[in-house]
Amino acid sequence: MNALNRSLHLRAVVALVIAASAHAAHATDPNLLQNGTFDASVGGAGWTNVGTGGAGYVSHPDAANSATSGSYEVTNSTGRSACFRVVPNAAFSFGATYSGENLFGATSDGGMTCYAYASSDCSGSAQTLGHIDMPYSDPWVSLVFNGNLPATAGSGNCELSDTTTFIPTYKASTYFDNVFFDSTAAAPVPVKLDGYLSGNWYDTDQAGHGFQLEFTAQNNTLLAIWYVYAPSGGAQNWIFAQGTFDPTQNTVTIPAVLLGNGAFPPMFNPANVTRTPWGTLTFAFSDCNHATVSWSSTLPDYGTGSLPLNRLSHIEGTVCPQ
Amino acid sequence: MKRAARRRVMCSLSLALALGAIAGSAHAAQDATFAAGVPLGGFLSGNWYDPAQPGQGFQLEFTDQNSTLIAVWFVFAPSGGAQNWIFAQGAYDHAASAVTIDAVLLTGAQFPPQFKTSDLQHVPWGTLTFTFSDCDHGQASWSSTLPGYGSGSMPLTRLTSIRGLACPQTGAQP
Repeated sequence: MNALNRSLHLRAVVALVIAASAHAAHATDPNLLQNGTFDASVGGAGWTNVGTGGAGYVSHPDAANSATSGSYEVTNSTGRSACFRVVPNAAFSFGATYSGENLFGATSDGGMTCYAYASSDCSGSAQTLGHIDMPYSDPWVSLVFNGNLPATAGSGNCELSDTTTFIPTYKASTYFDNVFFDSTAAAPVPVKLDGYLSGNWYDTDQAGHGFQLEFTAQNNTLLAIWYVYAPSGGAQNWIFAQGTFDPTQNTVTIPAVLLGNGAFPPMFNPANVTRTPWGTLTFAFSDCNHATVSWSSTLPDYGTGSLPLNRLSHIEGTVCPQ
Repeated sequence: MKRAARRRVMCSLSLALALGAIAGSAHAAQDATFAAGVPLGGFLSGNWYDPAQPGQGFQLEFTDQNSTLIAVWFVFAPSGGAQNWIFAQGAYDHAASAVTIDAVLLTGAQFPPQFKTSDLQHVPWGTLTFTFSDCDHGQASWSSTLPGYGSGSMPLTRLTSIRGLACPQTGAQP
């Protein structure tokens, strides 16, 4: 072992001691990404030598050899963690410890990026929470990114990427270890459908249309009225839906109808009103103030789609349990 | 064929019809006890309509946000045919049994995903007044500044109530 390698080894040990103590704090946090939450191989001991030139890597799967540290084997590519739940507006921090060895002549690129989604299952469009660039660094370094989750965040995931190309003379190695995503707030438990979810709900990016939701005491009937506009533009539309909800669930699908051919009172004549089946509306609540609506219409031009919903109002006298 | 069509209508509004029947008997009891009233509160939230005019009605929401009432009237245009929804909000007084709030007519936008908030035109519509004689009966009156809507009133019967909320029934009961 030459002096350089010994020096690197020592520095790595020092870094790991620090990382281990920092990691102990993460372990009690609810959103720690532990071993097993990443979808690539983790664990085991020893070195894996994959190539001595060109695109390749030498990795150590779990540098801290810890059962609870979130370490991640980066295979010269990109890997994404499992989806986890997050609380809107909560503070978060994510990061990892990183080391590259024998990077002389190598070109390295990559880092860690975490994303938030309005949905509760990482579906839909991703919003980048932050990115930490992988440094060109021999000693272990702690990479941390701090921020606050967006108001629409319901879930998140993280991605590690590593693309290292090194020259034949040196067997370069890159490591990520102690990969974590922490949030100060506990991951939410889906709320159950009940009267306290009644109110006005809308997409904060689309102020001007929305839903009046009413979880009634009458045979567990949900009344949902979407006040919106016609697909052709300009004219108003209101889409009336009602159906049974299950108070043990957080999701409900009900049929909707489009009423037409009425008139404003006193000219209103109920005998003239037409009722056309419109399709279905599905509401999925992630907590007391966030939900997703999705629709599937059988009428031309309404199509299918979904929107994140935020609660605008709540009924006096009701208390949402979370 | 006629029978099938009728059956479909009945299914889609089964709740309205069922509750309309219940409300119908109570409706007859509505009388000059209006003055007693019921104080405004969250328990009056729900869907309210005139049983003689099923197919249009109000979604009322007495919120706990600065004692704001949100009222959306799901109705039709004066010219006939087209749908209208009239959105109103304003403060209510817990000690009163009546409230008057300003309404607005929003137009000009499209169904999502083409919806753009910037397309919206907010046109002041006029005022809506709600008066409650008891937990299940009230009256809506309106005065619009827009052509065709005019002013008028209609009796209201409660169609629904919020699960978990009880109306104190402080109003006159038969």
